Amino acid sequence: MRLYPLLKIFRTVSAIIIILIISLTFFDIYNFTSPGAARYMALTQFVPSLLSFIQSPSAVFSAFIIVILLTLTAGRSYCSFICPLGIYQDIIARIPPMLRMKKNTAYTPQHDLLRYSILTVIIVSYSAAGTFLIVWLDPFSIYGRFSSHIVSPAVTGINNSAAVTLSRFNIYSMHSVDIKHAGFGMLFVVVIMIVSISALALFRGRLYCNTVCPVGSLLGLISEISFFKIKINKDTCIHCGKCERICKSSCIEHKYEHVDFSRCVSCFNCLKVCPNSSIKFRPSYSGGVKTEEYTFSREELNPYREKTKISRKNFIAGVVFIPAVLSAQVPGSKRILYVQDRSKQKEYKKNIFISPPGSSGVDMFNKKCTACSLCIARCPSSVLQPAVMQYGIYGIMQPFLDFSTGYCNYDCIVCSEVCPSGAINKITAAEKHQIRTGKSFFIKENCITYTNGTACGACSEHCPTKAVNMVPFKNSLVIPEVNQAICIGCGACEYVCPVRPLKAIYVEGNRLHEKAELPKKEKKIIIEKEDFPF
Amino acid sequence: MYTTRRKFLIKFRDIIEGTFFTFLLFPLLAEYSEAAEDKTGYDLVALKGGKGPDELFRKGIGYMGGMSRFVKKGQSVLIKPNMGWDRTPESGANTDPVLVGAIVRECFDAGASDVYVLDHTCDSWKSCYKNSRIEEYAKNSGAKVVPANSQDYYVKTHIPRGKILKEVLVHKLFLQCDVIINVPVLKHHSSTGITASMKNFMGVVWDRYEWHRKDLHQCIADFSTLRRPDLCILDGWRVMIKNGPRGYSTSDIIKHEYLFISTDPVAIDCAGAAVLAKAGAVSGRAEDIRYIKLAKDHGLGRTDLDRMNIKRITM
Repeated sequence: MRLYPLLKIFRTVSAIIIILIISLTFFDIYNFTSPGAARYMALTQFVPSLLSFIQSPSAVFSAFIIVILLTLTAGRSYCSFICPLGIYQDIIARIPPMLRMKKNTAYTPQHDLLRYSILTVIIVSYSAAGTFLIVWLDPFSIYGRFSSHIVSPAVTGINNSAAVTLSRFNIYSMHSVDIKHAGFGMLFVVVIMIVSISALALFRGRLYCNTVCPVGSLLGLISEISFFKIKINKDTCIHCGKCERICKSSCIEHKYEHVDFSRCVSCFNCLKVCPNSSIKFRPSYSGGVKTEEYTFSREELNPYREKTKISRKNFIAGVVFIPAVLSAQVPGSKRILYVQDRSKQKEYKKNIFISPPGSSGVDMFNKKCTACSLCIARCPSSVLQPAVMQYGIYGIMQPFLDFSTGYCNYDCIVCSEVCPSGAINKITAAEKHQIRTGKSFFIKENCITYTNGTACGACSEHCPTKAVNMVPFKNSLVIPEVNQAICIGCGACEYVCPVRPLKAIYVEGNRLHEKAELPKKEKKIIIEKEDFPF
Repeated sequence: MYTTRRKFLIKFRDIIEGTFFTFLLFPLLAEYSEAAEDKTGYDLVALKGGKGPDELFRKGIGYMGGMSRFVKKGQSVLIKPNMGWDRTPESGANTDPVLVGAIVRECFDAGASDVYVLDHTCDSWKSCYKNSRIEEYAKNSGAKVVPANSQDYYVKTHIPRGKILKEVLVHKLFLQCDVIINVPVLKHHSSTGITASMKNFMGVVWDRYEWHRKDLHQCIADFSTLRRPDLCILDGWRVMIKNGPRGYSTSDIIKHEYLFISTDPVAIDCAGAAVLAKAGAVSGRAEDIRYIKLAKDHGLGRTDLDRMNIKRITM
């Protein structure tokens, strides 16, 4: 049939467009797209829209319903058309043929036990403890972290070298952007995850999607009753095996004219290679060959099972390896944050780290965030950083307000505007002005004015509510004083405090965000027109 | 002697001429003679009132000898406004955008080849550039609004006369441009008392917190020895008299409608300090602001406002 090559071209083109758009929302360093647009881009994805829908059912979050309907119609086309991680794997899988390497994508039986137990565990753990496991397995979040922590800094680096070159000639149409990247421990984890997925994609096709990915498993279940299915016509099939070799999901078995449609990602590659159009994409209830399809015996699959053991071993090794790496990273990065020579300074320790304003509290946030890192990528002051152990084990990779890299701008609500999974509720700037995410504490013994006897006041300068105020100190100097009633915990004071290694002012988080008082309205001073005072 | 018709007509003509002269020509001549007087002699031009800071500026720059005294044909100009905060023009935390636009246009009229506007902001820079509306006004007037958000744009420079601040990373345009026009806004400042022209140059260096660490007042004075601005224009249209330099609400500002122009950064800061002292924002005399005193000790300018040649104009 002539239509089949067209189907594949259609799939390729739309997949490229989708992955470009999704990626652009993550490394849009010039802010071409608005935060709202970025949110809608992310809401095309299954997990964010599902989670948002669970929290507040609305038509905006209906993308997952459309995906389910699509799956009921034409199988798991989501995995080939919309999922950025799936598209990424397809792109990666194009490399071995270019290098004339052989791929092992012959038919392998499905790992039903593994994939459905992962799916069950995910669903149970989500209803019990929130998004803890989804953080690790949601394909959109994995791709989001990859693009915001690895691709985006790389793009920024290229942009910066171009901008610097141009600025030599006094052309400032491009501008440098400070490269913001997560701590190296976190980068390592992200790299390991993406490298293992890429390796699977290189050598085993869509093994990740069909074994680990919970969305893949769920849609696989649904696609069993899909209206359109890939089918092999027994009468015309010449058993050339081309379809089996090209299938990235290893789900075609030409010997038995069998297609495991729960693993098929509707990429339509097989349709294109079939020399006599024996393999077809057609309504599943039309052919009447259905009963025969399932008449193969399990025993005959034993030779294939031998093969799969290797991949399972690899996979389990990976599962063990990632947390091991992670736990090894934790003390290290903590040391980078805190331990330096501080013999003369008064110590303090932060107990609670701050979740973004709009998340209404650390615990609620940890239960809802999938760590897709979209907010981290879009935060204009780069105060949002992925947590290592700041939130404890349940919040790894979720964003927290890191006042060593920036502070939360008073009027900025970008993170609440981009969050696709409903972890950060949409708030207005006026609402944000009264959300106290933390409280500021001043340590006089560390303050420059106290130790050096010189003027500073950087903290009070930056304080948007004047919760940090300057009061008289000796020798006509002034020293900060904190009024916690109007402090909102934006961290401006902590970020700008020039004291090192420990600061003289720091913000301790609130586990549950509080309502801050507004600063007292002062009477407007009216001065009658006066002349120059000199 | 009797009045003939002829004599009457002559008399009538004289009266008409006289009226014409007194009511029309005299002010015009006065204007001309004013224009003829030496306009480079003023230490400080202080203006007040009018429709807006742009009108004050156009009037005031005439008394400084016109923009062509400072900007020659083909020169590049750096305008350094204060746009450090993500706040609207009404809040008085940033220089008035209308004023910046007017200065840019005046520079081009004087024959400037390029006009650059930049600030190393405190809040995130894009919001500051946008919400202060300086980017919009400056661009509309033809200026290049240049980023200053990355260390890539800064070069290490030695400050020969610096006492504490000996080396600093400074925006390369600050060293490159032929003319520097400092356009600060007059504000109360929580630690230095006031912020005006000299402190505004914290926005052309990369590590401003280094100054806080070392000795803020001395560093401000030290940096001013690096390069003296060719012209200082102090925006006092809205004066923030408390909760500076960021301010919290419009109750922090007084609409004084001042504009000061000078070539002397110390003198103009003194004038600013006098305004704030009158409003009670800083205590005592202007010279009590330590960085002004230190700058005077560096020999950067005068602080004796009462002995200066000041042109005061109320519109």
